[in-house]
This record gives sequence, C-alpha cells and structure tokens, in this order.
Amino acid sequence: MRTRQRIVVDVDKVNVKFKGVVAVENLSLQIGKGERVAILGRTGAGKSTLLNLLVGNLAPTSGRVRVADADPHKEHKALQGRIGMAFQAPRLIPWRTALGNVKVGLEILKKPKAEQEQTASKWINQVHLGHAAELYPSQLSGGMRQRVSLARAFAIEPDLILLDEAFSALDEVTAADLRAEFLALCEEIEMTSLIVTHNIEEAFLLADRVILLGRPAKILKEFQTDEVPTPGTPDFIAVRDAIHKMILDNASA
Amino acid sequence: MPLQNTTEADFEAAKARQLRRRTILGYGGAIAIFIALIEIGHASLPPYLFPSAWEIAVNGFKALRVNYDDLLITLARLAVALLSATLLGWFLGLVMGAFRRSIGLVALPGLTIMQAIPALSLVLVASLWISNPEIRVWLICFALGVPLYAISVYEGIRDLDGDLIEAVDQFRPTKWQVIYILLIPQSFVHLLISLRSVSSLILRILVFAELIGASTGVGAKMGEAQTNFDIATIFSWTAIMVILNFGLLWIIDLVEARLLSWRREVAIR
Repeated sequence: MRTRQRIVVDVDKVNVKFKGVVAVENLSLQIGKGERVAILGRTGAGKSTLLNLLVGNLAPTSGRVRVADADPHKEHKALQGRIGMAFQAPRLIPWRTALGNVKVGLEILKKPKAEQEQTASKWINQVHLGHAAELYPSQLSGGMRQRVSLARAFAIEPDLILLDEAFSALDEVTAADLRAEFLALCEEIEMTSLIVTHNIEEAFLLADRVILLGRPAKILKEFQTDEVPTPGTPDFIAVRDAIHKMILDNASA
Repeated sequence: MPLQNTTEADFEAAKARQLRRRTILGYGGAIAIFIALIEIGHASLPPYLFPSAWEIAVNGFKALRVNYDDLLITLARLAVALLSATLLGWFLGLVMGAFRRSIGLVALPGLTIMQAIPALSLVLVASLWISNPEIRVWLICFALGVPLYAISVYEGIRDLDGDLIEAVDQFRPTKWQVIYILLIPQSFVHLLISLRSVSSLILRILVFAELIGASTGVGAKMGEAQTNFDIATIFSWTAIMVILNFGLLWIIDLVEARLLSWRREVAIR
C-alpha cells in the first residue's frame, strides 16, 4: 500500500433508503490520495447508488459523505473540476470531434483557450488518439470512443476518477488494452480512483483494494490486492471462487 | 476504425456518388412523369383548360421577363418571413426546452392552439385587420412558421439523451453552459430538419396570402391570371414556384451537409 497523504473519499456510516427500501446499509469507506479502490458486487448491490452519493446526485438518508473535503450534495460547486467520470457507454457529444469532447470539461472550468487546446491535445495523445483527434464519435470504434471518454475525465486533472463499469461493454482485447492504459495514467499522476465493476479479474487488476458489496450495499469483505494472487494465475481461481460463493451466500441470505 | 484507410474512404465516396446519381435519376424521373401527365391532360382537354408543357415553358419565360419584379417581391417576402419565423421559433423552442417545467409548460399549449388554426382563417383575419399588405403577408407566414419551428426545436431538446447530460454534468456546469454545450447544438439539428418542411409550407402559404391580401408578388399575378382565365400563366407560375422550392431545398441541403456532417447516415438494406 502507498503512503496516504490525505483522505479524498470519506463515506461514514451512510444509510440510503428509497421509499422504505434499504439501498445502502451502514456503509463506511475511506479512500486515500493516489489509492485505487474497486467496488465489486452484483446488479442491485447499490454500486450506482454509491456513485450517485459521491457525485452528489443523491443525499444520504443518514451518515456523512465527503469528497475532497466537501459535501458533494450540498457543496455542488465546490467540487467543480474535482471529480471525473467514465461510464459504461462513452457518452460522447456526437457533434464534437474527439478533441472537442476532451475539451468539454476544460471549457466548463473556463480555462483559457490556449490551455484548453494544449491540455486536450496532451490527453488525446496520452490515450494514443492523436491521429483521430479531428474525427467525430461516429467515425471512431467502440474502444477509441471509450479512450476519448477516459481522456475527457482525466483532462480536468480531478482529485478523484470514478469508473462506472467503463470497460464492460468492450471486447476482451480492447478492454485489456484500455485497463493497461488506465493503470499507466493513474500511476503517472497518482490519481485517486474508484472503480465500479462486475468483473472480478478487472477489480483485482486495477485496484490496490477491492471491496465486495452485498445487497443492500454493505461491505461483505475487503481485499488488499497485494495480498492476493495475481489475476490470471491458477492460484487466483480459488479467490475468484470464494468471492462467487460470498456473493451467492449473501443473495440467498 | 477511422476513415484513414484509403480503401474504406474510397468506398464511402463511391457510395455517396451512387446516392447522388440515384437522387438525380429520381428527380429526373419525377419531372418526366409530370411532363407526360401534362401532355396527356393537354391531349384530352381543350387547350384553354390544359396547355401543353411547351406553352407552359414559353409562358413562364415571358412571365419572368415581364413580371420579374413580382418574383423578386415574393422572394424578398419569403426571405423576411422565413428568417424571422426561423429565428423566433428557434429561440422560443430553445427557451421552452431549457426551462421545460416553467416556460415550456406554459408556452406549449398556446403554440399547439396556434398550430391548429387553419391557414385560411389567418389569411382572412389578417386581410380584414391589417391594411398594410407587407405586414399582412409577413404576419400570416410568421404566425404559421413560428409554432412549427418552436415545437420542433422544443421536441428536439426533449429528445436529448439523458446520458449526455449526465456526462457533461460531471463537470458541474452552469445552466447557461449546458444550454451552450448541449441544447443549442441539439436544437440546430431539429431546426434544420424542420426548415425543410416549414420553408416549403411558408412558400405555399405566402403565394396564397399574396393572392388574397396583396396586389404584388407571384400570388397576386396568379390571381390576375385567374380573373383573365389564363390557365397557361397559372401553370407557368406554379412551375416557377416548384423550381424555387427546389432551389430552397437545395440550399437547405448544402447547409445541412455542412453543419450536420458529424451525423452518420444509416441505410436499411
């Protein structure tokens, strides 16, 4: 584990109820600067609810959520430019070129034009799309679109990157490629990230820490990835099977 | 993959050429059918009721030479009506879309009622109420065009993908930034799409409005021809208006191709 300078995400005893239905139960989670945490869980385990809490789209019924020392729901503007997000679908603006899409966040943050151009070009090159910068999303492949989406999230150089199943809609080769790029980018700028995924191997490949969520969202188990065999090796199969079992036991309970 | 591969780019260009050829063939075929129908009509009815295609063409050139100022007046009226209706309709639709739960909810029923008013009622009421023929003709076209544009733009903004809003929302934009980054470009798409149908409609209504409410312009000239039982002139002006409409649509096509080049055309096999 890295040395933590400060806490970027602080979720403290959070409960969320929707019309009496418990979606998140007494969830506590801290993520330090530069740390990568993966959230694993089945559909309906409250992973999206957790993301909505972190971006401020949702307020907890009880408990406290802080991101970069601000309440994401109440201090909406304070977190401007401090959270970047990549989604399952790239969600690119169709009438903007790849470069134009990367610029969106910088425009909203009112960076000077020259800086927008320079930063967007830097990030489009970082994701190896310099040659496609002037192409529209309809002219790009699925993997290229997702790269643009990652560049868009990184370009504002936020305190926290959230990945919402960002690689799940891609073929395995492209996904592996993008995971490696994502890791390299995170390492390079010591980016704090929260990765929501269904994919066990992906969680262990990308994160320093993997949190297994049960239903409703509560922590079933936490893994330090350096204490677990490397994904893809025969020893990892036992870990994967154990996680499957935990998820199934939680579902039947 | 991007279209940097020459073979793929060539294939796309060949497809575009083929599409252009088919479009030209389609228009050519339609014109040939119309000429054939006119000739059949001419052969079956007395000449004073149905002139030949040649007579219509000759009469058309004569009408253009003698009454070109009336055509220019109609064109000027069309430009002013189309431009003002487009601008106000777009602005109204944009504001309605941006403030859907307040202005949108209030304005939509009013525009829907306006849209339901028959064009003839507008023409008659404007002719009775307004003495200045220019204002009269403009108001008729304007009142017809604005609701069509506004509702089209409003519906277009309502149709904006929620995922896109979420993607932009991660940067916590102001309302104005959302309007500028998403709503205005999205509204342009629908404005251009509606421009095609609304401009044709305005052109038709304009001629009608000139017939009833003005003494100059193509509509007024067609009214004179009707009084003189001059069918050939009526047909000639009709053909001129059809050509004018083609020209208008061609200009819209050019604008659309330029501004909406990011759109991917999907053809069903």
